[in-house]
Amino acid sequence: MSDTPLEIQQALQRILPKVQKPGRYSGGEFNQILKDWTKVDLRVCLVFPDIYDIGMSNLGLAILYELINNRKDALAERAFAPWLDMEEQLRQANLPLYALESKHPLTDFDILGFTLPYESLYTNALNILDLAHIPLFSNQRNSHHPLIIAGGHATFNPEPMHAFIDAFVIGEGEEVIQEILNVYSSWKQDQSLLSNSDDPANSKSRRQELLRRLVKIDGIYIPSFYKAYYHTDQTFSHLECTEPSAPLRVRKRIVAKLPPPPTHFIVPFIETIHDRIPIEIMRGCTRGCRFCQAGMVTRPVRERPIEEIIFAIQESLKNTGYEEVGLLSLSSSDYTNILDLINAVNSHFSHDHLSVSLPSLRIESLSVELMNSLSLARRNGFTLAPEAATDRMRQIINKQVSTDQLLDTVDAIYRNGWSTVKLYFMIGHPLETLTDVQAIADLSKMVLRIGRSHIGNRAQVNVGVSTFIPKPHTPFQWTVCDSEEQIKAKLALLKDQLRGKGLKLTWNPPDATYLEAWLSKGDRRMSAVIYQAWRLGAKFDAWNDQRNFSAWKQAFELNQLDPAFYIHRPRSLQEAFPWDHIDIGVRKKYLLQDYQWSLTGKPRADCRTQCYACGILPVFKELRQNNPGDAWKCPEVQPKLKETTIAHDAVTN
Amino acid sequence: MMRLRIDFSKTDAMRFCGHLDLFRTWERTFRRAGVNLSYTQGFKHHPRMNIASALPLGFTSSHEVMDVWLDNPLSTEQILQSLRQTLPPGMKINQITPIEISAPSLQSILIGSEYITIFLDPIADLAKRVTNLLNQPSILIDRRGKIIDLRPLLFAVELLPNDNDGHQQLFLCVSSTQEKNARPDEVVRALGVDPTSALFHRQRLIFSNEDGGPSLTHPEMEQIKRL
Repeated sequence: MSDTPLEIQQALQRILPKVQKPGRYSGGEFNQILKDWTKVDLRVCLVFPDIYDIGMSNLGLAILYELINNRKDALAERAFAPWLDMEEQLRQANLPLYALESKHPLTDFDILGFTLPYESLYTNALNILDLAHIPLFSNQRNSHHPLIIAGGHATFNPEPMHAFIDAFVIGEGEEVIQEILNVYSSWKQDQSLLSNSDDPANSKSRRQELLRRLVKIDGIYIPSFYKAYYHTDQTFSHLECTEPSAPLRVRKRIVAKLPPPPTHFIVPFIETIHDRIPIEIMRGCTRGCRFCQAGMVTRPVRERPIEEIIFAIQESLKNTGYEEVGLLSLSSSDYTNILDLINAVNSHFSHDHLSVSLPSLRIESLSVELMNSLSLARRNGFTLAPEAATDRMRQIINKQVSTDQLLDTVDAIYRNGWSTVKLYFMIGHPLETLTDVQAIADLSKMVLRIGRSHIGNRAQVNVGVSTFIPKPHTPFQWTVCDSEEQIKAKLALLKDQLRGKGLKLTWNPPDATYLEAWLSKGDRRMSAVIYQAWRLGAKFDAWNDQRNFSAWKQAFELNQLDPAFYIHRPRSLQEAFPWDHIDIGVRKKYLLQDYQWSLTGKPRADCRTQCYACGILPVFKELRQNNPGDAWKCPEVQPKLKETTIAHDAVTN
Repeated sequence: MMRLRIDFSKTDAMRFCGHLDLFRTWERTFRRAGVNLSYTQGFKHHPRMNIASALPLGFTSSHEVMDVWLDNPLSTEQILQSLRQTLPPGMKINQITPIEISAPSLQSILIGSEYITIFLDPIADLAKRVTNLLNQPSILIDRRGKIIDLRPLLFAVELLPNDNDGHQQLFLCVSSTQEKNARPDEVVRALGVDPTSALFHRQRLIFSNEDGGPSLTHPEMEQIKRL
């Protein structure tokens, strides 16, 4: 490729004045790390396949950026999806996509690491490869091309993207990224000793050699080492290993203890969606909501000590000058010493014109007390996520909060001076009826009435409604998505009733739901659909104003696949799933048992108090033994309970 | 309470930091430096800062001027040292001067701006175009639906020697009061040149002499009068 960083830089002088928010494409922000390419052997570009404004708020990217750049032998730079105007400029000038730091084209890097937190980024990932002038399909690339790796929550079902990604990282990346770099480094050294032949066959076999070395790393999934088989009814049968060293099942990686968080965040010139310091206080969740993929795939719960959090805030403030800190976790209230943490935050930072956000609070009046005592919190609305509006429905989805508890909490919120309550619900849960949906409207109005009883017409209730998607690796992976008629009827009911002063309803369009559902439940055949949809113009699928739904429908047709097969077909309890070889540590039979419990409304209590033997502890037994301490929040296993659980299991895994 | 006038440059990638983003960038620079700005009262607190003139996105500048207020007085030397450690790449401080709390606002005393325009593509008859432009009695342009006469807003339009890369350069001095102001890209467009093929650099803001502020004399004043 003849495009040098200098040539790209010069071309940008003319291009950037023509696009919106050129600060997305300029690099050069405070805390950016630009290393000398001649002094570093391993060059990684971290790619977030949505625009800069979104990608720069991604914590995973910040973690990897700091980890890789802390190595003497490696550098990490960044690339994002250019917005439509910039893409047009790049294509017009035939300029390849480049990394923000050095302006090297992506083809100059050894490794491109894609972050795929959600499925609607897949076409953007393809578009980025295309803009970088890199062949889209893994089998079209050779040792001269960058190695394409991907990780993130969406990759717990890697199959839909199997044709495009050379290696998936399953699970947490902090340790495995180092191992990947080490393997890559030794392979690269060996290559330099070999003859410099440009024979394409030779180049392909060198690529194969790299993949064979990478597959030995735990948590690495190399899709090209497997072949998928299907039954005559089109359902998935099994995967066959075509490479002897490839494992039959790929177990996710976790870190035994959360490493110290990053504190040298890049400070963008432009405003990003979460323009603040993100500090992860805890990873994992013990609540076991049955629709929640994050709650299943991020087990076990590991907490960061308070001192480490306070130190990280101090350091990050000094390093960035940000005026807001977000304390992140899946369920803040469940952090063991949450009150002590809040007190420590108050006492350390009360003079700093700092605001602190503490999202994901439980629905209980204690949460209001917590927010009240967090003097630095911004009072721009109190968010509660009951997810369903009837006690029956919440028992089915295992969201253990009663309507009374919710109303008490709301009462405390308005009583304590908040004027806006945000309520998050889902429609389309298994066994849901219109009565349950009607209850969403009724409950929201009841919340407004409580608000008005305290503060009159200033009271505001914002209702956000999304549609349930049965995600892989959850107890609901056997269930279906609502039909379009069902979704439309339910949304119509809510739109009709949730109007008027003090009420605001927002919802996800069915298109967005279906697209995410297809892609999350997809098998290997979905790669062809993704490719076709991208060819037909699909990109920015997460954007409601950009999604090209007809391109997707057409792509399914062209590949003779039925979208309904993936999301509207009830699955037999014995069915093999295309993602079964991805081992999240939680056993499939545990998920199935939980599904069966859901059908009778049987709850599963918070597993902090009692172990239900989901499988995490035996799977990571050694890791926990080698890292003693109280960071893990799994209780000691009671042998008796474990036995009954096993006896209860309906299928074997 | 202390009021400081800061003269700073904005170059490289910082030129893509827009006017509103620049406030946030300064706020964070001060926070990193541990220099506490005064905050406004109200629902959402903002640090008190006042930037003389919005520099259009993509322009570089060697002299932007901003006033900030501090609750607790510090020596300018101390402030300068702290800020220099925490400035983002592409921003440098030329000077910090304490000024009277009651001094008039920067906007009210700003009268003109000087720019250097660099043309990325050669323009064979640039000199002739400049002469023709200045000979017009009025130069009417459409600014977002409003018709404006640029001619009385132009104080100087002069060819400069080519830069080191051989690019043609133009010196511009234009009116920059709140009521009457011209942008160099408007002038370039009036010359019949696509502004996206030019680079713009502001080299100075010109303030009226009446507030007793620092360094307000400018050698081009004679020229300004002449035009």
